[in-house]
Amino acid sequence: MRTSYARTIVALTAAVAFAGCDFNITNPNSPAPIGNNATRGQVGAAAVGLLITERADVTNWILKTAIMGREGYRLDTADPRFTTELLAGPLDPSNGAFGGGQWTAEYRTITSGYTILNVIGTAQIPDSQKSAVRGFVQTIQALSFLQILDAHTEDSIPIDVNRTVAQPLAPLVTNALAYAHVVSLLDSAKTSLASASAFPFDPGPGFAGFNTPSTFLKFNRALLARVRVYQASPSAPGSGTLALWDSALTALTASFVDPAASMDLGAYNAFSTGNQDAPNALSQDPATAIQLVHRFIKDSVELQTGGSAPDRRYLAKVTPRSAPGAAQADTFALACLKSALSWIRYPSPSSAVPIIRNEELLLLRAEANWFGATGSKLQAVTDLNTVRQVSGNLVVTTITAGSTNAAFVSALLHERLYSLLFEGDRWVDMRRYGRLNQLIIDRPTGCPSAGIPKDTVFSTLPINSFEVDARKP
Amino acid sequence: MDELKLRVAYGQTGNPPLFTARWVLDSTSAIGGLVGQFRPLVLGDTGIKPERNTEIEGGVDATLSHDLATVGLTVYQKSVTDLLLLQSVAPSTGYTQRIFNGGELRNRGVEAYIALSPVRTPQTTWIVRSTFYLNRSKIISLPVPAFNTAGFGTSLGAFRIAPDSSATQIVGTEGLVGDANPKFQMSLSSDLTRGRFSLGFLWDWKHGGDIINLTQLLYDAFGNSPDQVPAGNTRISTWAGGKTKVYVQDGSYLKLRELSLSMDLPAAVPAHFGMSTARLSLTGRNLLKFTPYKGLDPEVSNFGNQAIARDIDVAPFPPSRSFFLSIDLGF
Repeated sequence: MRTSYARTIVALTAAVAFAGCDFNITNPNSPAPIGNNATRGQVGAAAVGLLITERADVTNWILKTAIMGREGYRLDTADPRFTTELLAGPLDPSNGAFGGGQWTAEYRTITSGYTILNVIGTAQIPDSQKSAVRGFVQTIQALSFLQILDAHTEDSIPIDVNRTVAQPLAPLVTNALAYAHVVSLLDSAKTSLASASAFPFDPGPGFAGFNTPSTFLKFNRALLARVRVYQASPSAPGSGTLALWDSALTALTASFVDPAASMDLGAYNAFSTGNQDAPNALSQDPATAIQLVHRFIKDSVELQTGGSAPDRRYLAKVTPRSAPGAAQADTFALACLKSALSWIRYPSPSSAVPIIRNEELLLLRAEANWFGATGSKLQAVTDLNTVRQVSGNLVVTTITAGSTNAAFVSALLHERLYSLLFEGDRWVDMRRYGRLNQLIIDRPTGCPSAGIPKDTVFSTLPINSFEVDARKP
Repeated sequence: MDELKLRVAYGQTGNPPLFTARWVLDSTSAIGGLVGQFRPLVLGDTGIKPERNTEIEGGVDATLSHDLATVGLTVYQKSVTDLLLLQSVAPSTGYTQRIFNGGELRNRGVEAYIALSPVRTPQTTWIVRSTFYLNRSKIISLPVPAFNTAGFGTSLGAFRIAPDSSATQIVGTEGLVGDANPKFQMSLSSDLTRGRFSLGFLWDWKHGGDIINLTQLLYDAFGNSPDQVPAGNTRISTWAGGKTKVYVQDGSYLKLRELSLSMDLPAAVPAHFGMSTARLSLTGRNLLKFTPYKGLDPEVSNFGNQAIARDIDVAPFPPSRSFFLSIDLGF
């Protein structure tokens, strides 16, 4: 008994002695956020991280807007929300994959960017490389803000988000002010990139050709051109402002737009099946696909020059849904919707998704040239025809410099539809020109057999409910 | 009355935070073969403390009429302060949730039991037991705005943590639509032994407690429900019209959880094989179920046995019905 007491006393003494030790070990599993005196490797990992979170919402956005913009469907027997919520509503603001999307991943990117910007001044890299990082971060932040603005038109955008969780939330501002913020981020990035030497990291395969500060600046200006055109669009707060169209033209001049270059030249979100990487969720086997094409895409396609084959852009992105060797396409129907056409826009899990590319820039240039004070309508027609001939193998457009604005917009939206098919643009384009009411309503009386009320066309996603809830007193 | 005991107990315990709550870390992933790091979804807290659980309970136990009956009653109140909360935060902060200490949760409940032994002869014994329990939880204070947790978005039912409300309340598009916590639960068991035979059963009764029946929603949405026309169509269109309540359903049940019959074989039989005792039993589990619930089974746990958020039904495996024939041998 005596010895056992003694043992207990020894054990307790040892425990007390240990209690005096510092148990504040660092977590061995995950890296801490980038801090002061960051090494080149830490800066690189944090910068690449922005591309990962920026990519997170992209395929979701394309699929969702394809459905809301009537480019296609997802006839998914395991999830009715693709055939109810996105077509008939109501949009659920609490779910990031549906109504509440285009918010969380974007703000994660933007705030992760501030984590870098807040400490980059102390990083162990030359000042010229710090400038390159600043320019890179602010450009990606602008891209994320633009994604939020594409999805939301309710004038409730937090922009001043460089705060800790303990601080009050950033105030909500109008879309017009948020667009101005995007422009200021892009311009600030431009200044930083102009004084930069080289990136202290590799931005990866998505930015091949845009991985030096000077070439990345061309990507930055391309984004600015898109922002300016969106700002100038009829439904936008700055509509009718000729200066916006003109500044789009200025930005395009400094971008990588080039009628002689490949239509696919541009910056991309990379996907792969590699370790820890994400596959492209839009890739599918066309024979068993559930992500299908709206018949409107087939019904309004033009035929190629001197032949009976449809528009080359259509052929590259749409194919009959058929089993190998089958004579007929396999029509797939669900919830009063049906299609016999599958998307092949992204053929493999490693297919990259464009962020912005030459074909879009040519069409932005056509748009800005048509409406801008310093623009040329002849140049606008030329650019439309370049896209039609090079990308679609079509005859020249019937639009001339003397055509009406309405006729030009119809022609422009037609080219944008086929050039940017399944890239997340259609819904935004129709909204920009107030033409959402022209989208086909498949189920005007709903789908009684599946209990779905009549379809509607949404013009915006609601603000994420977690954002709204956190702001309630 | 043979015996009367009064009990009062008070205690405090700590519940330590999880390993990962203690650090502020980044997530990592890869793009195009390059590894990057970025804000995690959940923000940790370097100052996190254990939550403190204070329980006070009182009760009475009594034995009556020469062991004919024993009865007991317990009432308790458990208060958890410095709750380890996983709070949903505004996504514009770059996080979706953060871990912190704060707020107070109170659980109050009543537990009662009675055991009767109406027959106690050398030849026959019969014991009947019944228990009753109920619990009410309430968020007493919450230092942050109310937030939703778990579930698949408000339209499909989500749990909501709000002050002065039950910790298991369910909200839908239209607001409060239910509560996963049952009004009360009871059980009744009986063991009757006569000679070499014994017969036993156990009934469980849960009254109230809502379940989010997403399985039925999936069936309805694609026209596959047995009552699709018109009931299923009505449900799905009601849901699509912004009424989540239609899929938040009463999970009450009464179940015959176990019925068993056993027999001790005459001593000569085991002796023949060189053994001292042999017992043969036939047992059935989950034999009968009475429930208004439309899903496979009101006892679902798609998402594990969590305190909050267990009562979501998305095409789960139902509990199985089983029969056992067993032989117990004694040497």
